[in-house]
Formats: sequence, C-alpha cells, structure tokens
Amino acid sequence: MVIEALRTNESYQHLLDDATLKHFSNNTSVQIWVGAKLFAGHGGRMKYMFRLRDQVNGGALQGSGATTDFISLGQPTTIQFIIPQSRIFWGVNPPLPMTFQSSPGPNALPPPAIPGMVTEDLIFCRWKSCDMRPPDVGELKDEFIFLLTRDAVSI
Amino acid sequence: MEIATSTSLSLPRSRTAASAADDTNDSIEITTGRPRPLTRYGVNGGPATLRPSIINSRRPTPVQDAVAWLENRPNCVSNFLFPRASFHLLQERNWLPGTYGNLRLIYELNLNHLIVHLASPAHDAAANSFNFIVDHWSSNCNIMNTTLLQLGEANWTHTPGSAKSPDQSWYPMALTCPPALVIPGPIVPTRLW
Repeated sequence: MVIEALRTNESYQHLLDDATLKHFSNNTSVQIWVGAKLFAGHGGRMKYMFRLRDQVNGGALQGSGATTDFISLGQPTTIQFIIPQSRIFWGVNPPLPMTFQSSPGPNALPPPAIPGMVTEDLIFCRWKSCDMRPPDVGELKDEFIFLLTRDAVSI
Repeated sequence: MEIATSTSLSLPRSRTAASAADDTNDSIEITTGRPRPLTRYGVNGGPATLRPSIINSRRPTPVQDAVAWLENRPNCVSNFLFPRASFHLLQERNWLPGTYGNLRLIYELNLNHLIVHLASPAHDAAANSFNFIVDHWSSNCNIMNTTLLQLGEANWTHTPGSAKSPDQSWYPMALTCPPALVIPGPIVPTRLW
C-alpha cells in the first residue's frame, strides 16, 4: 500500500497517471494506492482518493476505490475510506492476521453493503475525524491542520 | 535521447471514457461547460500551440512526445540523461542536496530524466497523516505485534530507466514471494513489492 501526496505544483491528472503507470506498473506488486492532492484556491482545499490494482490487466482497476469531493483544509470531515483487508494482506498465506475491528461511519466511501456493520477492513480517515484516536494526540492533530493550511495558502 | 528511446518503455495506456470521466470530474469542461483549452500538443494530436494547462495537462502517448513533455516540466533537470545506476549511486552517496531552504528535496527518475520535487511541511503532513491509523489498525489496537511493515519512501523501478519513490508505503510482514515481486540488486537490498 502506498500513499502519494501532491501539492499545487503538479496537476490532479498527473497524480492519477502516476498511480496507473508507476505504482501499478507490472514491475511492482503494489495493491492499494492512496492519493492526496492539495489545492491552493478557496483558502486551501484537498481531495483524497484511492484505487486498487487490476490484477489481470495491470494498472488501476476500473471502478475501484473512491474519490472525495473538495475538502476544506480548516474544516473537520467525517469522510472515511474503506480499504479491503484482503487487498492489504495480498500475498499473505491464510489465515489473515487479526486486525482492529470498527464500524464505518455514514459517510464512508465506497458505501458499505450493510451500513453500520463491523468490519475488519481498514477505515481510513483524517485525524480530525478519526473517532478512535487517543486523546493525547489532539495537539498533533491541530498541528497537522495548521501545517496544511499555512502552506497551501502561502503558495 | 538514445537512452530514453531505445529502452522498452511502458507507455501510457489509452483510457476509457468511463475512467476518464471518473478521474477528471473536476476538469474545466465538466465543471464550467467551457471547451477544453488548447494544450501544448494541440487539439486531437495537432501541432503544439500553447503551454499545457495545469489542470488538463495529459501525458502524450508517443515516446518522443513524452520526453519532450518531461523536459518542459519546470522541475525536470533538462539536457541531462541519468542512467538508473548513476541515479542510485547519486542517492546512496548523498551527492544530491537534501534540502532547499526549509523544503526537503525528493528525486525521481523518469525516462532517465531527473525530476526534483519540493516536499513542503504540508506535503509531509499529508503523506504521514495516516501512519498512526495504519499502525493502530494493523496491530489490533496495539494489543498485537504490528503486521504491516512501514517502508517509507523506498525507491523502486517501474520501468527501465524510471524509478519512483512513494511518499509513504507499507507491506505485510508475512508477504510471500511469489506472488509478490522481488527487485534484486547487488547494491540495493532486496525488497519485496
């Protein structure tokens, strides 16, 4: 699983092309790609997206993953990504390791088949909206938001 | 240019209309209804006319156009071709500067061209914002040993002459090979991907 972050010096399309051509190249075994694109306009916005590998043809699997709308850098969000556990542990002999179980929220992407059902899939969310964070990371959370906001606005 | 054009390159695949619509849902012509602006490659593959739009800059399909597109990028070191071995040597011996002012420098090899990225605090914050979540999830709320190993920004080769460094990466500690691929090398330690 890889994460790619792009600031405002490269385009959104460039980010998606990188996922298809580079991360999901036939020379790699990357299964999950998560992208973060920061935009300078409107006081700083960003979009998050993720894609899964097409294990037959290579590249990104058509229709896989999800993409958020524009998210303001200074506002909390409840958007979550549900990343399949089976893809994260691709190549691991069963049984798969036991992982943290949680219930996706109402704004989870892609929408779960049974809303509210507890799953072992990875629930990906921003720190600001992460319900399972311990209380002592509050300062780090604010710093994260501050860093994003300050840099995007100053470009 | 001989180095870049003689190697077997993985060219950009043609994209279907469905995927293009899914991936460019914030492009100009969809959000505002205006026609797609002219790019450096013209309309319908015509001659170059204008600088590429920041939003709609699409990678061209022919190799020659891809190299020209790369060399016109503002963060590409033009007029120099870097073999992959030289690129790894430059990085391993720390001959490339690591910072510019208070911004970290990231190097990427694309079609034997050196691409330099500036990693700002915002870039690093976005890339590392999920570390805690992944570690928390993979260790089952910290009651088990972690099952995912954080690789960070390990370099890997996606096509001959091109290396890519993700901003953050993980792989399962119990990953088996096959089906995972191994990138062997005498200098670079073997990595599973």
